[in-house]
Amino acid sequence: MKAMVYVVKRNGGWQARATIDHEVDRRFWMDGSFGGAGMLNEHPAESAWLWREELPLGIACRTAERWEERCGGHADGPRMGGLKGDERDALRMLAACVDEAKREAESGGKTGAAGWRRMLAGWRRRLAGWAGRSEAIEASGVSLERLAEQWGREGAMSDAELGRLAAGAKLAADAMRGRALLRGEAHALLDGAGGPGADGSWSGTLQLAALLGRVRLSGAVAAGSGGRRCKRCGSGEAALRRTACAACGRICAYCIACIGMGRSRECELLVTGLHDGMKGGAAQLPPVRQRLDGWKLSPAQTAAAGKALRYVEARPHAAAHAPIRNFLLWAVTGAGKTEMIFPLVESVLLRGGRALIATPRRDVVIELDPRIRKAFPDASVVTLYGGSEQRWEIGDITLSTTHQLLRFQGGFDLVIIDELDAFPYHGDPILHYAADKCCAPGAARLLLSATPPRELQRAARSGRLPHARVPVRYHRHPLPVPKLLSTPAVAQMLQKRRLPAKLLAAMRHSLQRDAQLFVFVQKIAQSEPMAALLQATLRQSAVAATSSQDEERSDKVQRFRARDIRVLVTTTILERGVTIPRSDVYILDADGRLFDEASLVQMAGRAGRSSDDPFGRVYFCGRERNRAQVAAVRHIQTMNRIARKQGYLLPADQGGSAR
Amino acid sequence: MKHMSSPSPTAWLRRLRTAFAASAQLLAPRAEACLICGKPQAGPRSAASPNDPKLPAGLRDQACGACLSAIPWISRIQCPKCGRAVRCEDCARSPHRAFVCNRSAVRYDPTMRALLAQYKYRGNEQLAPLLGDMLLPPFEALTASLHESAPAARRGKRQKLRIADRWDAVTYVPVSRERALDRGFNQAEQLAAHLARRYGIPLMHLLVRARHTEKQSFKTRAERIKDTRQLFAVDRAEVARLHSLRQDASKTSDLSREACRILLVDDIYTTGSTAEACSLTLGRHIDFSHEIYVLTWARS
Repeated sequence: MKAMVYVVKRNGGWQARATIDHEVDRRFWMDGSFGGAGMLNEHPAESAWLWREELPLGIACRTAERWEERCGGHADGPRMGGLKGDERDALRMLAACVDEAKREAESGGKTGAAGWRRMLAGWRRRLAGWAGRSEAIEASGVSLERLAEQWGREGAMSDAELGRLAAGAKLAADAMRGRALLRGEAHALLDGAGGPGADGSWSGTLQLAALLGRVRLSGAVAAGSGGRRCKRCGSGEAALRRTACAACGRICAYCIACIGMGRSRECELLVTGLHDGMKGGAAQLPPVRQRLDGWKLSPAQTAAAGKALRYVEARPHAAAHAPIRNFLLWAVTGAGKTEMIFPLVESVLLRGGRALIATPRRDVVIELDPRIRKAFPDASVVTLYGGSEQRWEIGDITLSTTHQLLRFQGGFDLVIIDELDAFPYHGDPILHYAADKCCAPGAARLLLSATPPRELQRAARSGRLPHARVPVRYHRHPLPVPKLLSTPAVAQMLQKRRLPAKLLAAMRHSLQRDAQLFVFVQKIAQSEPMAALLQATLRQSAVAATSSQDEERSDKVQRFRARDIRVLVTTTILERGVTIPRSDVYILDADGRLFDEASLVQMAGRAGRSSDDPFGRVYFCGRERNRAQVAAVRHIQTMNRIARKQGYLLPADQGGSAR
Repeated sequence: MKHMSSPSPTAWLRRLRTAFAASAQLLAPRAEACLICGKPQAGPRSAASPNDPKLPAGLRDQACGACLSAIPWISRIQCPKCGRAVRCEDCARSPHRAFVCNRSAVRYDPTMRALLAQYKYRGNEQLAPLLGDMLLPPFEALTASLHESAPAARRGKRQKLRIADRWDAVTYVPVSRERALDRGFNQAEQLAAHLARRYGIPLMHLLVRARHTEKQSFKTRAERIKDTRQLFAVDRAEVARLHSLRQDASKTSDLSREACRILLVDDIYTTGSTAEACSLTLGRHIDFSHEIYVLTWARS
């Protein structure tokens, strides 16, 4: 889209600004009253000139930034006052800033053949333009008016219109709090919020909200340190593509990295809403002990949650650029992580803040939803994932996939990232950028995992990362330790249509003890044939296969839970987030490339999760025992040892294991 | 053979440009990932990509073998008028169209629908060359089927270079100004520009979309039909340019055809009403002999 720039004189100094609806700016600066909403600007301008030329949005914003860099200007800026002088000085400076912004935009591209051509053309145009422009500025006031027009005090809008506009701006600012949305998304959000101004023209509303300092308007792709970046997903030049753009009339860059969530480009508007942060301090809250007791946690859960809670509440206030405060909660599979976050969420809600629980997996988000709603019946809960119907709603608690975090900025006082080592979050710089961006200044961020990435483990061990470890499951029985079975590769079993005797015997035993069988394979393509082979060999009809490409996955998991399916062949897609009582786990090709230590620990963590059957069985089946398997077994044994040492395991006379 | 040795300077230039475009394509970097499925591509021209000689080389570089083999090409045309792969009752009912015929590259199945959505609605413009390359096979087939009174000697090896000689202009279905502002590009224009560049045929911006403000649903049937007829207008300057180009060409070149041959490009052909409206508009405003062929990416 296009935008305009203007200069406005206040307290004897000139400042420059960009606008997407200059009529609103004229009213704001030259009069300040908005009908029923009353006076919105206590310090009207002495004089103002609008630059006549419509500019691509990015160039208009950059012009205002250049002015800021050269002359200071905004009342809240570091260099108050702005440019001194008459309107001719101001317009000459504005012309220079516009020129610089244009030049930067042209030279910012890669210098391939096309880049050089563009640059040459730009220089040629500039040479011609410069002559004309400086002449015009040097000349009399009449010529000035060719470049810019002076704003009068009279406006075209009625009092009723102005009142509606002001009410709409307030509504828009409230709805936009903590969000970062592209123009189309912002319009959809505001259309949903309803209220005045819903006639389809939101530019004026957003512009007024920006003048009032409640939202920020900018290009979605803009120059920053180290070249152009997508301001929504943080991607740099490598993810930017430049095309001729009919919307702004120049070659303009768009971002291919986050295009799945709408196109972010240089001349596309990015609307960022400012979030005020928490009002209440931790001082007025009831004592930690008392609050923790209300959640009925196990001793290990209480200890970890208490430590996290004290950390989260430690800070009395947050400065504007305070860093994110990370806390690692390292809890074994089945430790009851969700219950442990309840007191933390409660703390933030009591202080009037907003909490976010994000996880890479959509399945996990959907499974968390009812549990959170049940725990916080009075709070508004918004659940976000691709295609969610609550897309534009605001809640006290937001449950979200990590992808949806791209649409937030500085919006949450507590951010909880669950399963942070899971695909696709782990190793994706865009999602990490999003998880940083969504935190309010000084927000606490809780990182949850049973298998934290190595660098986080190291940081925790060395004391750089505050953390709490929960080495025991909520039912206080030790984690099942995997048994290693030497078997042929899955491909060979499928080829010979035969299962090795040892594996067959173990599986039969599992079925006899009435357990549900998780069978993990490496490849999606192997899941169906393996299910067929198991069906034939075990003489068990209730065998099914599922994978990430199975549309009936959630249905099959339901049937597995309901015991309509007894044996489920699957891939790493079900390695986490699924709890099936009384289940045994078989990991085939456990020596395969795709199963690392974390993945093996997670899959093993599917067994023995209910207190009715805490001693599930886990088998690593493969041709050889590799490092990942050994490390996974050691990981599980270490956790059990710590749990025993800290006295978290049930004593033998209460049904605990004698080992 | 005399005319072969002394072609007009403009024709030479055109050929040179075509040759350059072709060799530039050979030097173009191969996409690291398949543009359709996003998976990283194996080594250069791997065994995975089908060595189908009928596929343009550019396509094989931009997409992986699995995605390429999923493209539902329209290879057997059942309806000679609209280029459908099945027998067509629409054309049987109204055989008289303002254009000669339509040809489409693919059937509009869910995979192609998703691909077009990525490009057109998501705005992933890096797909434009891929979709443009998909137009090459039907375009070359269409060109080959034109009844040209060309000497047999000209066929064969040099046929590719001769494609430009058989067409006077490539044009496209325009979008409204509002749509252009919103989307930032016109997919039909990009596809047309791709073809024009590839073969060195002049790209002409012959049509513009006339502004229409009222919603279709508020109008009677008669009004609607009248409205569709007035949906498009011509750019008179461009028509004049086409006329003078045509006159230059007929003066200097060896072409024996009477009519000015125009290719109209669009992304989808559904009922043919858009192509018909565009062709009618062109027909009303071009006062010299001409024929319009329609080339669309998908036939729904």
